[in-house]
Amino acid sequence: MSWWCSSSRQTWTWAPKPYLGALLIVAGVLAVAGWWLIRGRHTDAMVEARAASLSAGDTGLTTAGSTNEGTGTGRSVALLCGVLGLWACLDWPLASLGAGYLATAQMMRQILMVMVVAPLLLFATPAPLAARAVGWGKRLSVLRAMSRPAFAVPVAALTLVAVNAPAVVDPLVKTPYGAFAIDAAWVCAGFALWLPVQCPHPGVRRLTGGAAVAYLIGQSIVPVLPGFFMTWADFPIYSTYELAPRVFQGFDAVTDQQTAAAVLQVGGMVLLWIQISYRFLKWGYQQMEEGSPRRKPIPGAGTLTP
Amino acid sequence: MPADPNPWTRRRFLGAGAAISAGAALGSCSLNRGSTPDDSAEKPETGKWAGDELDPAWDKPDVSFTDLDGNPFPFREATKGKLTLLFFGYTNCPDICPVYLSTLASAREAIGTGPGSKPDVYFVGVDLPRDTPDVVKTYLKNIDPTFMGLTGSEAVINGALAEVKAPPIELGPADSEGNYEVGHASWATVYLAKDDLGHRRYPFGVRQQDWVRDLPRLDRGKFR
Repeated sequence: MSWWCSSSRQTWTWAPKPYLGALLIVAGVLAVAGWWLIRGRHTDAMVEARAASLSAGDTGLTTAGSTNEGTGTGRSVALLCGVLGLWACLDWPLASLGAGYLATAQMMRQILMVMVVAPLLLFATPAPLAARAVGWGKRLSVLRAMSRPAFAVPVAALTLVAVNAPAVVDPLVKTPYGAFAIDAAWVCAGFALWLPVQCPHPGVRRLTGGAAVAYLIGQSIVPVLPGFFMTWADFPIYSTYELAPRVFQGFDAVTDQQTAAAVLQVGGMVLLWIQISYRFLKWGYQQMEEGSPRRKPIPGAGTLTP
Repeated sequence: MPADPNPWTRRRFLGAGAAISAGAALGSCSLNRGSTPDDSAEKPETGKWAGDELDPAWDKPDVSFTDLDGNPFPFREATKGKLTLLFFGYTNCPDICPVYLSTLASAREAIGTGPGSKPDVYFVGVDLPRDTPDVVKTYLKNIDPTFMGLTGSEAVINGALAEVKAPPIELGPADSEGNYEVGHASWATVYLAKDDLGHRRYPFGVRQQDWVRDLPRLDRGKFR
């Protein structure tokens, strides 16, 4: 059993070949979740104090602790889906196919990791757990800086463009360490991309409403660039996938590359725009509710004063 | 007045969007997929070559294969004066042969017309029990119908392999289903039209873009 996937140039077989590193990471996430469920302190003094102060007066601050999102069931479902997505992304067959045979599989892994697993795991993280992990000191300052769009946009964009560059992909996927570095870069890019709108720490102010929508629309541009080059290049841009043994007859390197570009652009866009649409509608309904006269009766309304 | 909590103003977003669009537009200028190389204009020759130069050059194998219709095919005479690529492989090869031939076929298609677009590519089946003429014909038809198949006796093929400095046919052990691998040279030898000598050989790993760059030059008689 290998510890991580890599390009092998061997003929593809559908015989299962699990990876030890992937299993350990998935087990690690589950262990943290289990520990939190059984032994974790589900309350945090600062979180409670903030929630209390926020409920006393509307400050307009939006953090993980101040919203009513994330019911226990919702978080559990998100965790389950996130862990399953993580496992599918890191283990056979998708990881094997992506590392050495099909650019399409590699792009599916990237989309899965960046657009699905990262936001689900952030959503599944309870605010007290995030507060306990990061604390309220210097690490929180770092997290706040990372959660700013000015940091997240370039980091996510540059990382995603870099890990799709042939000069990076071809040498790295040859070894398990290199392939691991690519996967780690996806995780970093995914968390960087989603932190500004999905940071679970209650001490971090998130983008909401129109700002979140605008931010996500901006981030939806990023996948276009690598996808653009993959679609319109004259030749296969990745030697790894060009010279790999064929998995499906008739699915040549150029077709694979164009399909990968479609997955990257269309798949990534669809997932991102689902989020954008959801946030836009939620924001719209909030705006309407705030404008509705039935929502908050005005004290003293209807009384006559001399 | 409180500071704007969102540093991403509309102006900044528009600026970033415009910059990215401009970058994409500039990038597209260097990409012209689907274009056919302009044969009328002599392209500047670059010094880069794929594969290995053969020094001294190799003679064509002086053997007589059998073509797929069962006729004798004296290789040296039949390919005289043509840009010729000779590749030894087998139709049940799971990795190298189909990838190598598909890459070459795609490159030939990408060249379109003009020099290098119609090299004579010969595939010699080294798996004598399984590479029957019909099997080789079907195999090549699926990859590139312009590729030509050849067969022959073990002595003939081993003689040809010796002339391209490759080891003789070596059958691997059969698995439970009776499948076996065949050891074979994983390169194509390129014989130029101008002198019928092999000046370069291209091992597995040569990419489409390398073939597209090199084949027209080889067709013009250049090899370094």
